[in-house]
Amino acid sequence: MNLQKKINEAYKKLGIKITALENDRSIVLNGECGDWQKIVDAGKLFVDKKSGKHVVNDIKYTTRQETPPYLPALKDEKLNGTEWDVVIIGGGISGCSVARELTKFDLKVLLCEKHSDVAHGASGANDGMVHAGIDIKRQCKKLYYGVRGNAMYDIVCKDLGVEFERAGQYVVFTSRLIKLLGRSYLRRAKKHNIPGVEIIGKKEICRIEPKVKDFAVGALKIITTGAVSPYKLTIAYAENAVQNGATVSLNTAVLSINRTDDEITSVVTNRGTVKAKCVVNCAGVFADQIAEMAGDRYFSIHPRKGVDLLMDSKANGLPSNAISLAPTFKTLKQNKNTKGGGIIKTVDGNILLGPNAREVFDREDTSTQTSDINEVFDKQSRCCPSMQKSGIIAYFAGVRAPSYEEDFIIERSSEIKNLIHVAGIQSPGLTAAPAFSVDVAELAVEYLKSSGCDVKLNTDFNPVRNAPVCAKTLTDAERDELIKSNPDYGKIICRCEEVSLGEIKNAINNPLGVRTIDGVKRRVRAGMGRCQGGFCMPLVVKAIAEETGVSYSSVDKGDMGSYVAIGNIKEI
Amino acid sequence: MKHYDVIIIGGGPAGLAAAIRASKNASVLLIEREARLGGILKQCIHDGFGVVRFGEKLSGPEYADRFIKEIDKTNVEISLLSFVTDVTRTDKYELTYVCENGVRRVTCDKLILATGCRERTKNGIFIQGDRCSGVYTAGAAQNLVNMMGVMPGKRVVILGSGDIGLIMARRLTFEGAEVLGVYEAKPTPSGLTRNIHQCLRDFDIPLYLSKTVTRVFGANRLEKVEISDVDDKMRPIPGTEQIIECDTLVLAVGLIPENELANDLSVKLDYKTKGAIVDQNCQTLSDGIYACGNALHVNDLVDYVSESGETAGGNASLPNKERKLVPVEVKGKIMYIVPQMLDLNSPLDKVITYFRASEDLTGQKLTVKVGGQTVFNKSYLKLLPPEMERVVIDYSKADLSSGRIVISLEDK
Repeated sequence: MNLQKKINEAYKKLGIKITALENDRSIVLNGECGDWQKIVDAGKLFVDKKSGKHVVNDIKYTTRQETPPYLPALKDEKLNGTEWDVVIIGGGISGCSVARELTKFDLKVLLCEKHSDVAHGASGANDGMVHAGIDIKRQCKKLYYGVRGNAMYDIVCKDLGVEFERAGQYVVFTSRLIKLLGRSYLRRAKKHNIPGVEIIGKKEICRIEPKVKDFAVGALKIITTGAVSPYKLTIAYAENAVQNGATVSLNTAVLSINRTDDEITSVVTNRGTVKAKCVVNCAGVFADQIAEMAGDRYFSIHPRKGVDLLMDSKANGLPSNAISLAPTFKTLKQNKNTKGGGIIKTVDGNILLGPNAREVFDREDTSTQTSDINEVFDKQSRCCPSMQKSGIIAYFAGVRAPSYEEDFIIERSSEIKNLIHVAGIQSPGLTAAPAFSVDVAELAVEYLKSSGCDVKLNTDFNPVRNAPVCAKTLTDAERDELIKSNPDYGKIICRCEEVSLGEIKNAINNPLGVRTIDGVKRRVRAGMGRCQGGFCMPLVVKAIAEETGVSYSSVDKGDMGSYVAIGNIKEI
Repeated sequence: MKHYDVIIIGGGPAGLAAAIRASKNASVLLIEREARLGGILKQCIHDGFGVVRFGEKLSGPEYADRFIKEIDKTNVEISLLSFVTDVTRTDKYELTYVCENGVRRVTCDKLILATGCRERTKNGIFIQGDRCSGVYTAGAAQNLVNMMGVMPGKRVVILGSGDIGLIMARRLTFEGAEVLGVYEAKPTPSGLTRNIHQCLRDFDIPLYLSKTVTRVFGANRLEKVEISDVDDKMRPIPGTEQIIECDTLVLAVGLIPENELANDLSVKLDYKTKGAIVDQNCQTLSDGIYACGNALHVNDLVDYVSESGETAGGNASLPNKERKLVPVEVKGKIMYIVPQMLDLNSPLDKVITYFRASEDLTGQKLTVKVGGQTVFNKSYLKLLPPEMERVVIDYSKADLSSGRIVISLEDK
């Protein structure tokens, strides 16, 4: 790459003075700028697909300092002095799936997650679409693992007791020209081995989805697209890992990493220093900072926020399928870094709109803005004009963790021999996780073997995690029997989602030891409906307090410090 | 399957009144999802209930207790901790519900929906920002303080001047919290005038009109809120943002009738009340299904909730009769009326009609005309949307089969 040419280009286009240095693995940028978007744009300019070198973007954002990362207000010695074969940093879909795959071997595995539950970041706040991979143009890790991961979903979800629905997806063509160009998708599908892609006519798409009848001229039908609850799958992976002997340590943040020249020796956390034979970096938006701690930062993560809107299942004018509009030349130009979102049907039957994509400076800022809501709604309602804004019951933001190369980084470090990076995991990361986690586990095992460890298979490995009881989906006779075995299943606590006390108690006693209101909400949906917990939140607090023997004021909504009561009345 | 003449869903004030009245002529089952009867009254420990009905100021639990004592004297069957999961219409109604003993199925001729209402949420009014704890609906905050005996926080901002918001402002002040202010997006208060005085003025709690909370901040627990002025369409005005440090935000931004079951049964709803369209007997447009209390429309006095419960219970316990329904039309600045229909085959001499004005008005005249002939009129010095009005209209002398029925509100 001609660096000087790029430096000039950056100055001309963006008005930033940059210095750029090239080393074996990276192109390192330095400079100053007060406009975050421009800093990101500059980073993108230096992506060099030919050499495969990564961009390390150290251009300083001068407008303000970075907000310090969230750290749990906890310091103890719980883990101090423990020794592990593999330490995984980060409890998102990547870390949890890798942990579970590693338990197929007879290894001591520790997963550190700094939040009070797994799937706290992007894995808990995305649309849950299991992509077919049709949007990816060229061969890359996203495509390789995306297509393989998609094919693994039926078996993985069956094993892990997670609902998965392969209901397909329709990309609607709005003009004959676009429909004609849509043929390129068929060629791509063939080239990339994506099964079940076809073009259907106006009549058929309007029969399947009458909401698009005013403008559809046809559609691309993709039958392998599916839907899963991203946090439920992450939780299931983590629970199955724990079932098979892994340790998941929550409220555990990695503070620094000790190493010799080319090897990590130990990992320092707020709960003590642990020895690690091998470390897997699954730290999401912090993956580059973890790499830095190990002295191995050769890529940069630039946080990208996406907002999704959840519609009331009883709202009027909703479509009944996952649909989106085929990109036109105009929309393709406008936004290159999102597939444009779409209308998605979640496994719980809700319609979800989104996401948008906004480059943000803060890695953990999951706040939403009115402009996000309007942008997503206005965009997606073009595909289904009958939807009404009043039908939105919830909205949330997730911060994705792309690298500048916009591809996954899944490899053993060439400098630190016992460090494996699973970084730059963005869409379709959820789809790809079942596939890449197998390879990552293998990378770790290969390394351990090469370093002289005798790695055996875990003969007790049980791939099956039983799905939690969901009483409302049972037949009346089954439900009657269940209630007779335990009357708590007959006491409905969450009226909107019809969740019983028995199910809530099961969620409180989960294998990861999560004892929060959000933990219950994500496991059994209590508080997820129309009233958003207005009725059941106090009852869930009561159930958690009673099950775990703590006071009401000790119960947190989510992370430590997110209390719902400060103490008893008359006492404060 | 056990059969009842009447099944009532909901054991709050409306359901209790309906059950007591219906039991005079019919076999009745009352289904309540909580462990005790009384509905939301259980947590309303302030006074002011029953002024119209009993001529005294009772607390919520005391008011409920009068009905609970009454129902104990009837033969109403009560199923507590029971949650209706399905209602199917055959030649009668088949209900499935779950309770501690299992899944039960029962049938009835008449079904009364007394399911109350729910609160609008943070998402319902599009507050943006962080996902921290410390944001409560007023009802949830009330539950924490009055039922569980814990304090949600110390520095409180209340959004919405609806009655529960005002009550909670006072309640939290009693318990030692500092209520920094009640913010209302509308240019006029949403709660009863008496509550503005008794809950805010008496405690020097400021009320700010035409302002709303636009954003919440807090990593784990709420740390501050952003308040913005709003324009006449209640849209925030950029540039007017103001930050207030607080640890608690209580939302009292409106109540919505619970009509899940009504929807499942395809009962026709009134988009203005968000409850069912009913005749003067509280019977919906679906024969045999009744709606009453806050499930029908959100009342500001429990006395009227009980009244509509009695109306529904009384009529549901009578044998079926062919109905002849005609609509009641509305003209002028009326937000809504209930009932929206009249059954000409039922008594018409004492039609209890509730209405709300659509804006603050002075010097108004309510006129009820049938085919151009005035059958009722009443003058009002002042009308406020938060204060529901009740009139009893005698239609029995009018010729209802010929002309349109129009209720209008005009300047005097």
